Order: sequence, then C-alpha cells, then structure tokens
Amino acid sequence: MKTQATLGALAVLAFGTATAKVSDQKTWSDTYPVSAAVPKLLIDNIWGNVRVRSGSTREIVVTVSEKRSAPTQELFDLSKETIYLDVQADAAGVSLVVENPERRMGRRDRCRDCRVEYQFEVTVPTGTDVDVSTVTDGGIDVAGTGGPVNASNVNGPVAARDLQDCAQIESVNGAVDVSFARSPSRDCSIKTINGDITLTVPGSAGFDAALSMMQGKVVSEFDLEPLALPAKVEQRNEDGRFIYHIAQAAGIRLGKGGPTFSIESLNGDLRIRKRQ
Amino acid sequence: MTIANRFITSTIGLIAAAIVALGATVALAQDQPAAPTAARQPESITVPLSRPGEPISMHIDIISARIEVIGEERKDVALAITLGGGRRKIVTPSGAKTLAGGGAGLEINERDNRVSIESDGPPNPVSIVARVPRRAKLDLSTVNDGEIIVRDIIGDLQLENVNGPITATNINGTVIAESVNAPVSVGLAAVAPGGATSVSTLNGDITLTLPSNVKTELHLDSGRGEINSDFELDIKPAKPLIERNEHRGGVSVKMEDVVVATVNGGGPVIRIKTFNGDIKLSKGTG
Repeated sequence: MKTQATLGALAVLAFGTATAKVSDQKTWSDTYPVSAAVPKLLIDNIWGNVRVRSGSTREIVVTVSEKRSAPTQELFDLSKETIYLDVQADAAGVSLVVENPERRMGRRDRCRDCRVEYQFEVTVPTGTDVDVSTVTDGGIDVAGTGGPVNASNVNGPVAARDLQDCAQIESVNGAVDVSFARSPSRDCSIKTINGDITLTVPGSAGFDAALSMMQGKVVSEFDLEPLALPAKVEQRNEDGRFIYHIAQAAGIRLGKGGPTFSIESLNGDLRIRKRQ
Repeated sequence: MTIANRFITSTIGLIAAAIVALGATVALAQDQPAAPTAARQPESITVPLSRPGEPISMHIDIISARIEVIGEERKDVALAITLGGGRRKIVTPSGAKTLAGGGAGLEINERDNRVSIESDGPPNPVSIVARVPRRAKLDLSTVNDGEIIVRDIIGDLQLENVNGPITATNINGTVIAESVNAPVSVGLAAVAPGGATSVSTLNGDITLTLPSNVKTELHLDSGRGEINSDFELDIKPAKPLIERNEHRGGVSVKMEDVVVATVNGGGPVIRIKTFNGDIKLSKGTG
C-alpha cells in the first residue's frame, strides 16, 4: 500500500458563540494492488460522495477527503472514537466502511451533532465488482467499471453509467440514472421512492422488465411489448410473525427480451432511452 | 375509519373515478388498443398458524376488494389472491400502450393466530378467497368494486362494505354487517345468547335467515320498505327510540320508529335497519 497525503490538517477553533464549531479537513491517497480475477470494491459511506472510475492497472487507487466537525473540542475528540473510516485491503479487493458503532448498535449517540464527511474518488481495474453506498449529502457516481455494480443512496442521486451489467441500483430520495455500454446480460434491480429513473441501453439491447410504479409516467424511445408476468410472492419470518408480500408487476419486453430488470418507483417517472 | 367516513370518501372517490374514467375513455380512443394480457390466475399462499387447531382472528381492510372467507376443518389459512388494476400507460414511438399490473401489492401477516391482510399502496381491485379454520373471528372491510362473502364460520363477524353486497351464511355467532349502497344477507345457524347482532344498509334489501326454532327479539326499521317474515311475529306496542346526545353548544335528539317483535317468545336482540329497501325474514333449518 502506498499512502500520499496531499493536504495537511486544517483546524478551526471557535468558541463562545452559538455556532461554535471545531473542524478539521484532510485528504489522502492510497494505492492497493489487487490480484483477484474479479477484484471487489466495497464503500459504505454516511455523509458525502462516492465516485468510481476504471483504470488500466491492477490497482485500486483511493483518494479520500475527510472533513470532521463537532460542536465542541470535547465532542470533536470523541468523534474520532465514534465515527471513523475502517479500511481493509488485500489481494481480493478493498473495503472502505465509515463506522458509527453507537448508532449502528442503537446506543445513545454520545457524539451528537458530530459529522464526518468523506468524499471518495476511486479508480478500479476493469471488471471490478463494485458495491458502494452513501446516506446523505452526497451522490453515487460510478462509470465504466466493467463489472457488476451495486450502488445505493438514501438522500441523493445515483448515477451508474457505461455499465456492462448491474445488480442493484437504488435510492430513496433521489434520481437514479443507469446506462449500459452494451446489451446487459444479468438481472438487475433498479428502484427509488422519490425520484425519476432513467435507463439507457444500446439500440440492439433486449431485456424484460417488471414495473412497479405508483405515480409518474413511463416514456420509452423503444417500442415495447406488454409481457404477462406471474405475481411475485415473498415470505419472511420476523419476530415470530409470518409475513408474506404479494405483488403483481406490469411486464414489458424490449427487443427480443433477455435478463429481467425489476424497476420500482413511487413518485417519479421512468424514461427508457436509446444510447446514442 | 367509520362507515360514514368511508361513505363520504367513497362518494368523492366515485366522482373522481368517474372523471378519470371519462378522461381515460377519451385518451384510449387516441391510444393503441390495450394489448391482450393473459387472464390472471389466483396466487395460492398457505399461511401456517402459530397455534394450529385453535381459533383464529382475521382482519382485512382493503378499499377495493372481493373478499370471500370460508370456514373449513383445517389448521392453517389457505389464500387464493388475484391482484388486479394498476393499469399503466406507457408512451412509445408508435403510440401509447396500456399495461396491466404494476399496482399495489398485499401484505399478509400472521402472529399468534391473528391474520391480517392489508394493501401497501393505492387502491387497486383485488380478490381474496380465504379458507380458514371454522372457529374464527372476522373483521372484514371494503369500500368499492367488490363484495364480502362469508360462510360456515363459528365466531363473531364484523363486516363492512360501503358500495357492495354482504352475504354471510351458516354463521354461528354474532354478526355486525353494514353496507350503504347494497343489499345485505345474513344466515345464522344459531343466535348467540348475550351477543349483539346488527344488520344494516342505507340503500338495499336485507335478508335475515334464522333457524325455525329461534328465540329472539327483533328490532326492525325498514324505513320506506316492507317487512316480509316467514315467522309469526309478536309485535310489541310501538315505542319510538329516542337518543339524546349532549354536545358542546347544543343537544341533539334522534327518534327512530322501530318495530319490536319477538319470535318464539323472545331472546337475544337482533337489530335490522334499512332506509331504502325491504326486510325479509326467512326460516332456515334447525
């Protein structure tokens, strides 16, 4: 692993006002060689952006910008124990997880109003299996990585472009933009609650889609055929309860069909576009 | 939601639906014909019970539903569910096409022998056929585009259907059945002592079938309709029912002209009320 700090620490201390804040910002880069045939990149962020591109070497290059802030110096110091970046790397890949153990374990959040933003810029070998997420005040931007992509956001957009295949692309409060560089060959789930979905595929592509959309329009630049789909029944056992969910999606077939995309939206439009 | 609120909601809904339907008719005239879709087959789900062999309760509250519940000798709940509606228009280069499906789903929960079925989205019509253990307490409710059918149950029923009929047959327990704009038919295999059975609608006939040897006291209010009985009724002297409710700023007094009649000497009270419809009292077996 090679580490290169590109910006020194900047500390700002201000006391005695209602907006008193202690903050610190730093940026660094690391390079991790990988040897797996399909390397794995995992990023689990809370505040901030995640941007992933492909490179030509067998390395995962990570540039991280960290901005830590807290209302007081005491909480600022505490935040280093309660919110931090856990980095794991080996020949199989790299894992960058923003840990917040107290919140995850449902304990009282001792570091109230502490915040640690991470902006991730990552370059991966082509074909890497990418699994990235963030929660708020950031977007997910993955392009041309050449392998399967899982990407999720809660309060922000997700853009996954120039893909070979996707697995799961989702947001809660944000637009989802997915485009393929070739005809997709794997099933994929694409969903958001509040936001538009744009799906761009080559003119020769074929896939089936199960649409579950409550509001919004569906507009396609392709001629689509209706497709009869069976109802989908899911079962789980939760806290002593048997729970079943049954839903009937609207089916469409594009071209000669192919993998099945599950597309869900509550408040938003779906646009299916031809790649130019 | 009370049935009165449901009525208001459904009235608004019906007006809105009519406007939407008018718009859809105009729009479809410009669209391509709806693509043929295969007739929906019901989806079968068998729900195991936490305490097999013991009585269950079932709660279904769905805006647009045909709900049929059948009591059987069984230790689970077998559901046959058909999801409808959710018609989705999709705009393509060659014109708009209409797809079926894509609407709300249903969630089915079982906990401690309590089974509930709820919709997880906007109201799309569904059909539910539930085969349940015979000993069951049922709370079933819908508003539009459906009916409620119950048969062969030992237990108490609460049934509400604003714009559709209710039919309950071979029930051994108390029944509260309310509609607004449809007929209600209830057949009791026995009249539960100490229970309160009430059957009402605003615009529709009511048919109540009772065992021939039943002992009951009937409170009958047919509004503008007739009362036809297979039983000899011992009519009690007329005594208008007066309800006095004190509210902030005033008092309301409600008077109802109810016919009180006993059958075979009297027994538990059954209340039957319709405004625009007839009341038919039929003899069943027993």
